[in-house]
Amino acid sequence: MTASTNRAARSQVDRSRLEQIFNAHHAAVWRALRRRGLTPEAAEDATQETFLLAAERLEDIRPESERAFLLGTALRVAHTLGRKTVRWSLDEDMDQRSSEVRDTSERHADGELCDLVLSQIDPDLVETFVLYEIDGLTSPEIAGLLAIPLGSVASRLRRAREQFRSAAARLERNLKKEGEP
Amino acid sequence: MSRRPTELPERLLAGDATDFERRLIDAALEKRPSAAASARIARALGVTVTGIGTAAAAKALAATRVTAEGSIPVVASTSGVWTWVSVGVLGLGVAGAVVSARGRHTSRLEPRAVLAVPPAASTPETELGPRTWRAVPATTERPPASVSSSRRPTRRPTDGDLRDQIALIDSARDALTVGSPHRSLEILHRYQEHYPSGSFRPEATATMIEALVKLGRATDARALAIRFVAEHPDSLLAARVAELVGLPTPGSVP
Repeated sequence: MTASTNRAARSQVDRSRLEQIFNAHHAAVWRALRRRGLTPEAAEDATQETFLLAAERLEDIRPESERAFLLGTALRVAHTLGRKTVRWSLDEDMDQRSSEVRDTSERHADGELCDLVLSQIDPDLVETFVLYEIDGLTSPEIAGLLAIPLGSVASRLRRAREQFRSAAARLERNLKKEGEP
Repeated sequence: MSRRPTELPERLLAGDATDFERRLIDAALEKRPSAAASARIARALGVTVTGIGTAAAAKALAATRVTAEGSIPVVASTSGVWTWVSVGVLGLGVAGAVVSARGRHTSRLEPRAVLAVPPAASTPETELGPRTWRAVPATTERPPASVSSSRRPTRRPTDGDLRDQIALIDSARDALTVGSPHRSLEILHRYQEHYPSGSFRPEATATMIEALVKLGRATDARALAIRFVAEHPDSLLAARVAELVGLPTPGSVP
């Protein structure tokens, strides 16, 4: 086998792997970017950038760490773009907001409601909550990604979860008052 | 047993989440880029999108169809539900183009080199299963050089039209699937009214024939089917349409 054939075969393998990780994780990457406050268009560009960076480092990415690598890269890309997580000021107007989001389609509305609840969590804690509860990362992965000790991951998650549950319960009560399912 | 301070609790979804909490987290998990966005990113990376979902993938692929040389959106029939699949060379059409796509990338982000991929094969891959229906849109446009979303400052008007057309056809099919042929016909009439030269006229007509059959309007369905088969004898849809109304399959030996 010639060197060029080897290179071609290798490239094909790389492309297959890139395709596989793209299909497995691009939605999670996009979600992470949107949560960082990027517009859909910016999130699309940043998702592309994330996978381009991943493509450059495919050899270094262990299969079991693909998701953590991609989310970490996505967060760095978002950081590079200089965006901060968008947070709504909902303490006073949650009732109004919940009515508004219920006007859209059911599934979309649930997503909006989730954002509403997540926005009630302390900014320092919400990332840990999302990475664990939604993105499914492990404690060491989160610790590595956020550069915090394992103990901090656990304590942040505990506090974030309390806040999530409290905000969710409050929203549910509000929705019931409005007569929503 | 006490939990170590670094040990994380069971995930909410796997544990004691309330129904409402579960609903919220499930909804968060369902959030994803639009199928068209996924297809655009995939194309820029030189990979093929899979698993977006049937209709969603169709919309994505159809929306990007105009940009993928040699790519043709296809409709497959499975148990009455039309599933869209890709026949195009979404991956191959841009295989070997990761580098070049990257080079042409005009994102706000700083361009970099990416992994080298061999040039595209000349033979397109197909994912056609048996009884696959081909939907060949009437328009064929050359692809832009790059698919970076930020390289779409002025979206071609036909893109929006295409999406709208696909949405209408999808809605009509969905209506059929849930047993509302009347509703399906209504949507298809709207499609014909808005897009008399639409890219998906064959699909619209085929769906209409199916709706008519379901409504028991056999004569109307048959008349429409005869005309359809005559106009599109080579279309894969023709076979399906013929079958629906009991006509001889086009191309079959009498």
